[in-house]
Formats: sequence, C-alpha cells, structure tokens
Amino acid sequence: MLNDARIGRLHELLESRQISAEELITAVLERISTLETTLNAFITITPEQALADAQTVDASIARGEAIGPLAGIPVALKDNICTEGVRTTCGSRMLEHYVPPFSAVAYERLRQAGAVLVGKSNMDEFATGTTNKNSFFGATANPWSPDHIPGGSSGASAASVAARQVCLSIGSDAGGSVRVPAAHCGVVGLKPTYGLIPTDGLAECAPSLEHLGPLTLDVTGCALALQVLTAGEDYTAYLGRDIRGLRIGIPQEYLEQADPQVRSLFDSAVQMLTGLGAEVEETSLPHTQSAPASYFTISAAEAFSNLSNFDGVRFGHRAEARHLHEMYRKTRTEGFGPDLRRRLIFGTLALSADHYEEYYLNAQKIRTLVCRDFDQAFSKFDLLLTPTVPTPPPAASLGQDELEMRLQGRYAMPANLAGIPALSLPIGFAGELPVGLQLLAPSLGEGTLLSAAYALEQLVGFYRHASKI
Amino acid sequence: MIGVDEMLQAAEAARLEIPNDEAGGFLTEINRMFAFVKESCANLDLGDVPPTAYIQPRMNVFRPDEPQGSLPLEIALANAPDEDERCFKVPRIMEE
Amino acid sequence: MQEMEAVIGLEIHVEMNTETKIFCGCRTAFGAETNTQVCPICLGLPGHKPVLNQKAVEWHAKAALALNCEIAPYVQFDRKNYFYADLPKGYQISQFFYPMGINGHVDIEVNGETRRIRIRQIHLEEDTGKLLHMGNITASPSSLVDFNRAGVPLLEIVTQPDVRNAEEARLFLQKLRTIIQYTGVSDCKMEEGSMRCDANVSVRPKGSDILGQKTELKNMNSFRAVTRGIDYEIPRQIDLVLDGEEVIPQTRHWDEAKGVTRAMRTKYLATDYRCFPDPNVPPFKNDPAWVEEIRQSLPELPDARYARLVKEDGLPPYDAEVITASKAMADFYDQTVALVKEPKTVSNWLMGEVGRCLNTAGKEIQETALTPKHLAELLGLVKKGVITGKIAKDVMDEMFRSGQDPETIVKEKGLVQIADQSELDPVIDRVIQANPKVVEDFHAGKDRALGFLVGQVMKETRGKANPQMLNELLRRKLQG
Ligand SMILES: [Mg+2]
Ligand SMILES: [Zn+2]
Repeated sequence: MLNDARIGRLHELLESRQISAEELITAVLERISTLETTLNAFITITPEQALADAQTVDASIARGEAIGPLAGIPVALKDNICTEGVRTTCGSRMLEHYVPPFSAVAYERLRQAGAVLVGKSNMDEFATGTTNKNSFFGATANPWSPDHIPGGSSGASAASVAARQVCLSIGSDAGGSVRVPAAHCGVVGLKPTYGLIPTDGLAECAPSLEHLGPLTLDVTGCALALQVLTAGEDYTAYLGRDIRGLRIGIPQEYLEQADPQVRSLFDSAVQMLTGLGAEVEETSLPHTQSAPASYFTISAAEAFSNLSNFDGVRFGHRAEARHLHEMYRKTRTEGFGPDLRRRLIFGTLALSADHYEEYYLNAQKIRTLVCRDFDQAFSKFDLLLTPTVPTPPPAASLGQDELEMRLQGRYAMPANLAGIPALSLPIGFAGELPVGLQLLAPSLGEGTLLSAAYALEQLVGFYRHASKI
Repeated sequence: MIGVDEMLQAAEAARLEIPNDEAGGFLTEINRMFAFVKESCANLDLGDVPPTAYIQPRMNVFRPDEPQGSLPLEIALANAPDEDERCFKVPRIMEE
Repeated sequence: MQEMEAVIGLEIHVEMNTETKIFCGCRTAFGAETNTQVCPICLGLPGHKPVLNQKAVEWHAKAALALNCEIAPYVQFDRKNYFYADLPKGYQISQFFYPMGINGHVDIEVNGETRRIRIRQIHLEEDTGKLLHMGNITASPSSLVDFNRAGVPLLEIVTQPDVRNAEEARLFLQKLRTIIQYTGVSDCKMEEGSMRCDANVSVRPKGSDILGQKTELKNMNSFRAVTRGIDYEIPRQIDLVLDGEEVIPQTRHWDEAKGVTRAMRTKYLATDYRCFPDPNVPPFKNDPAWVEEIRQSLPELPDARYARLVKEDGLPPYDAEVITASKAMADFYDQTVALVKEPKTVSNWLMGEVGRCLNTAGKEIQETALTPKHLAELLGLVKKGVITGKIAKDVMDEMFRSGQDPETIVKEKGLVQIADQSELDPVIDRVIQANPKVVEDFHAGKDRALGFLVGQVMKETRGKANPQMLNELLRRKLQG
C-alpha cells in the first residue's frame, strides 16, 4: 500500500474503497514504529487520535459522502506548529512538556480537509540548523543513507515523507529549511509566497523570513496540499500544461559553488526543460553572494527578540532560582541548546546600539538589493532555475564547521529574503544520495512553479525510487 | 571584532549564560559571523540603499474592535511553571 | 548666588477606552478577575500573531489631532526589547521610529500668561500586565502577575522639555486630561492608572541653553504626587549642583508616604532596548482624506468652548473655565442653557448646588441621574414663583438622588410656595404670639429680630412661604 505513497494515488484508493483510511493509518503507524529506531523522525506520535480520525473519514466514505483529496491522508507536522492538546516542543528542552492551548491555522485547515495527524516531526532546535542534528530529542537520519544528514531544519519532515512514514508533512522555511532537506531526502518541498499560508500558530524565530510549506513525494501532492493550506485555488489546474515558450533564467552566481555531481544533474535537467520547449538563458543576480550575511543577521536579530517570551513565567521550562533575574538566565541557559544561544547572542549584538547600523541595518539594505535583483530578473523571465543545495547531503560525521554547514542553505536564502515562491524537486542521484533542483517564481507565481516542476517530474519520475531504509 | 566582555554583556541582555568551557568557542564563532557579514558588505555601496524590513506590500491590516473571547483561567494557567491565587507566580524581583 | 532653573519634559501614558486590546480580542474592562482577559496573543504564547485594533488607530489619530499634532503619513510598529515579569513577550510593541502623532502643543495659562508646551510625539503602544507583591517589591519573597492589562492600548505623549516647574506640570496635565476626555479616547483616571505621568527633570543656570544631567521620576500616581515629586526633585538637584556635585542620571521613584524621590536599586535595568521594526505587525499608511475625516469628527475642544461661553453666553471667565473643565459638565451646561436661555443662572446652579451634590456624592455629572431637562424645569419653577429658591435646593437633592422630575417632587411633597395671604396670616399671628420677647426686641430696633421671626414662619411652613410676601406681612403686622 505504501510502495507508492503519492497523495493522489492514495486518494483514489480511498475514494474507490480499495483501502480504508483506518488500514492506511494503521500501515503508516506500523511503518513509523519499525523505522523510528533508525530514523528518529518523530518527537511525538499520536496513534489513538489518528486512528479515531481515520474512522471518522471511513464513516464519511461509508455514508457515500464525497471526500476531499487530503481526507484520510496521514500527515506529520513539524514540531514548531502548534497543535491544541498535542505537545509542541520546537525540538527544545525549553518546551519539552508544552501543550499549546490553540492550534495553528495551517493545522486547522488540514483537519478540516480530513487529513490525519500521525505525529510531530523532529527538527533542529527552534528551526536553527541545517542538519537536524541540533535537536534536544536527538538527530534524524537520512532515509537514503542513515550515515548522512537529512538536512535541516525540517530534516525529519523530509525524511519521514521519503521513508513513507507519512504522505504529507508540513515544514517551516526561514532560509531553506523546507527545500534543503527536500533536496537531501529526495522529496518535493515548496516554500510558497510569504504569507500565503498563514503562520498563525507557528512558533517561529524570524517572522519576517518564516514560511510554512508542504513536503510530498510528488508535485501533484504538493499542489493538492497547497490548495488546502492556503484555502485557495485548485493548483492541480496548473499541472500538465505545455511549457513551451516558458522563459527560464539560470543565474550564474548559483552555480559557482556547486559540486560537480550536482552541476551535471542540474545541466541535464536544464536540457530536459529545453527539450520541452522552454527558452532557457543565462542570467545574473549580482547580490547573491551577499544574501547569506543578510539572512544570518536578520534571522538572528529577530530570533533574539522573538524568543524573549521564553522566560519561564507563563509556560515552558523554568529553572530553580533565588530571584527573577537569575530565573531568566538559568531558565534560558538550561532550556536552549548552545547553538541557539550563540545565535541569540549574535542577534543581540547585531541589534545593539554599537552595531545596529553596520550589521542589522546593512543586512536590511542587502535585503533590498536581493529583492531588486529578483525584480529585475523577473522582468525578463517567468522562472529561475538553480540547484537547491550546492552539494549532495553531507555525512553525519562531518559538518562541525558551523558557518560552512549553514552555507549549505546559501541558494535557498535569497527566496526568503524576497518572499518569493520556491520549490525543490528531486532530479537524480549523486551516488546513492538524492539531489534537488530549485525553481523560483515571482510573488504568487506558484502556478508557474508547479506547472514547470510537474513537466520536469514527468521526465525524471524520482518518486518511483524507494529510499533504502 | 568583539571582545569577551562585550559578548558577555550581550549574553546578559539576552538573559543567557555562557559556561566557561563554551566561552572561547562562542567568541570565535560569533566573531567569524561578524567577519563574514562585514566581508559581505565590503564591496557594496549601501549608503543610499533603503532598508527592507517588510518584504510584502501587505499594509493597513486591521481588525475591528470586537471581543473575540479569552482563555478560561485554568487553560491560561495550565502551562504556568508556578501559580498562586489565580496568577502566574515569579520568584522575588529584587536581588536581595 | 547663581540663579538656577529647572527643565522638565513629561511622558504621559493614557489607557484607551477601546472595547478590546490593541492586538487581540480580549476585553479591557477594569476590575475583572485576574487573568481572565488573556489569550495566546496577549500572553505571548509561542506562535501567537498580533492583529492591530482599528479603533485604537482611529482614536490615536483623534487624540493626536486634538493635541494639535500632525499625523504622519507612514506609521510602523517597533519592538522595544527588555525583560520584566509583567512583560509577556520580552518586548513591548510601540511606535519608535515612525510614531503617528508629531509636533503638537498644548497652551496653558500661567499667572495670566499663555505658555505653550510643545508635544514632541504621541505614539501608540501596548500596556504591560500588573505585578502584585506581598507587601512591597523589596520585601516580597515572590510576586504574582495578572496579565489582564497586558495589551491594553496606550497612548504615550512625550513633551519637549518646556515645563519649568511643578505648577506648570500640573496645569499641563489637567489641560491634557480635559482635552483627551473631550475626545472620548480615555477617561484619564490617574487613581485607576488609566493616566500615568513620568517626568524627566534637570536643572541649569537660568538663561543657559545647555541641558543638565536628568533624572526620570516615576511612580507619581496623582496630580498631587506629580507636583510634590517635582517640587522635591528640583531643589535636590539644585543643591547638588550648587555644592559642586554631579546629578547622576538615573530613574528615581517617588515615595508618596515619605515624600522623597529615591534611586531604583537594580543592576538589571535595560539601557539599550535594541528597537527594530516588528515583523509581525505590518506598517500602515494614512490617507489624508481619512485624517480629515477624523479631524471633522472631533468635538468642540475646551479652548474653543471656553471662548464661546465667554463671548456668546457672556459668562465670566472663571465660570467658563470651571464649566469647560469637564466635557460632561460643559455638555450639561449647553443642553440646559438651550432650554432656559439664562447662561449665568445655569452656571451658578452648576457651580453651586449641582457642584455641592457632586462633591458630596464623589461623582461626575455623567454618573448621576440628573438631566439637563430636569434642571431646566427646576429653574423654570423658581422663575415662575411656584417654589422658593430655598425649596429648589431641596428639590435638587431629591432629583439628584432619585432622578425624578422636579414637578413631581414638588407636587408629591407639597412644596408649592405659599403666596396666599389667607394661608400665611394665621401662621404669622401664631409666631408673633409665641415670641413676645422677640417682638419687643423688634420694637427696640434690633434688626435681627425680624429675621428670627421670618425664620420661624419659614420653619412652620417648611420653607414654602413666599419670602417677599412674608416679609411684607410680618412688618405690617408688627408695625400695625
Ligand atoms: Mg512607553
Ligand atoms: Zn488577548
């Protein structure tokens, strides 16, 4: 049943009563428990509620009611997406026992559509990381090779879709956190236009950069999820369109650091698109190299402020202390891991009176330049095409160099600075490890993005490969 | 480049401690980040560039002045690490 | 000895009367059970998203225009970052870089001269929660936090350092309160904390334009406290300077009980708030047409109203000032005058009898059952001679208590004036017979004797005797 776990196919099986939602959820829960010792993709699993929800969907089908495309589909939410009554930890000791009193809008919409929550995905602590090693609840492995990282910070979200533990997972992306792991795990990951999916109920670090996005096995699943998450249009209408004449730009700055294997897979994907009649041309986004500095600074500055509500007063971890000030310091030092604390201190410094102009304000100015680059490019092109990540997934034993690891997200960050939609599509293997390609469109250009990704997917057909695990 | 004192002051402002064994690594990493940002700005003429704080044209977003319903007291206090007399309880405010 | 002068800037926080908080749908009602007007947004729970209250923005514009401010075309909310137990998010959302109201002023009368206090800015921000200590903050082994007030919309009004002494500060605050009350944006009750004032105080040699080191006075919870606090702080600083010592820039708390200002003793006061644009709250632009609409919606403000009462109604300036000090009172006055067309009589009554009733009850006029229509009817009864002025005062008490109309009160209590000689004659005769000694005194030329006898008749008639008729009859009988 889970060999081909694409949402569209499972929906057909459910609708035609070849399988029941309960059977599907049972199979998924079994797969989760079998793989968890290797993968560690979940912080919390919700089997009772999932089975109850599946039965509700089955009852609805039995009554002959029409069901939506996500009804009965098992879904995992990154553990920074608030779920009323279900623990939401952000991968942090700080929230080890936190049960939110309200649900994220995105989760409400999925529930309304009949999607079945099976658990909360592991993640880098407060979404700060590109490895998924940086979680209070332990690292997550790459399902194609457990010795390799799945990417981060939604690494477990991508891993669990690749491993068919769920058919849909929702991650968050402030600087590539959906797309980087999607590329490393060989799944489709979409970061839509800023604000298109409401982030109410997302316990985020950097609100001006943060997005929610679906991870799925195929582009169709992604389109189906996007419709529900945005309470918007039918995005499957864009699939299967002719892409002849589509103007696609290849920004040269995105190829400079690319690993040769990544580069060659990218080049062959470009050839496929040309073969489909797209007009592909080289272009330049001159401020690409400066984007990471802007992203690092703004995200850290916002995180410093945005995580100040973790003070041990109203919720979360509280340390024993003699007085209020000591309580703050101890609570936050015990509750937050070292990487996160270091970033918060960097953000504190970047915003301090002595450094504000040189760091925070300059980062915002670079942000302007990055936005202008895209504006200019999109006056000539419908889409831009880049590798998602410069390299295939690194080995888990590597990556002690923090800055280098963070620069894995360098191709992903500009889209967050500009708020434009970006999708990572798996396009092949470097050895046994997946490699992804990134499509970028102007704001609200999700339709074009999906339509080109779908066309390419028909030729690549990556979803037919099952992960090794 | 920042010094260890400045880093400790910032940690204090963020209500964080840096254990002694972490301080050296922290300072190196933070200074690396500062150097990286500085380097990234070095060849740019940012003088006349306006800063971008909001990336979308979304403006004038308001809600009407209508009550929406608050949390019941027991739910509001459910996650409180300490509570008393229907309030959140905190340790003494003055140091001594 | 060198003459010194004080330079004072005021920062006033005013809580708005909106139904709900600035960024969430929780109510703002005063005096609710602790932590029952809270939600994920105003508690700052993970994942909360604030959404701005439109009414708060409208009222902000209204107050700013009433205080002669310009309305900025672009407004942005920023985060002011610091930690404190009453601050749920670890930052306060405020307008730091682009406040909405700028360059305003309020004119006050000081010793017959008009002084202009300039307002640097008026911005909108959120209030904090409330800390409850066991005893005082220093002794309390732990504290409790109530977040009902957290997120209530606050106007912060920042003046230029144009105030020179405590009296000017008081006059400014009173005028400011009156203007804001006129707009309906806040009730400005210092005792309930809906209006609070901090003062930045420094001193310098008179005539100098260099600013000295300033201290920030906090915790002045009444007009009296503001006056006393400043009156304490100025000589304290002058003494320091004249002794060749330095004024340490610091936050000082006014200790109402001891009557002194005292430095806050804590190492952890934030000095750098690291303000930056709040990414959760989109900025907004103000359409000039909208600003004009708000301007048109402003009521007649105290200065204009004062001028009208003096010029058109012919009230003495003192009366006009007292009447216009409260919008409710001024409205009451206007509505009454519209009915009886005798401004000075209405003013006399409002400042006299009505004022007495209000003082006794400790209420504002809008909180009572009294209506302009009833007051007008009462004055009509006096004018027509139906009741005496003395009886009218009793009727006023009753109207004030019950809200009944004066005619009903007069009828039910039988208070109609006795202006019928046949009714008064027997009473006067009785009084004359009962007081032979006083009658003797009268004939001996003692003026007070007549007054006593009048009083006795009034007592017997329960004040209803027509005074002129009584006087005349009594005199005639005694002399006759
Ligand atoms: Mg303020
Ligand atoms: Zn609230």
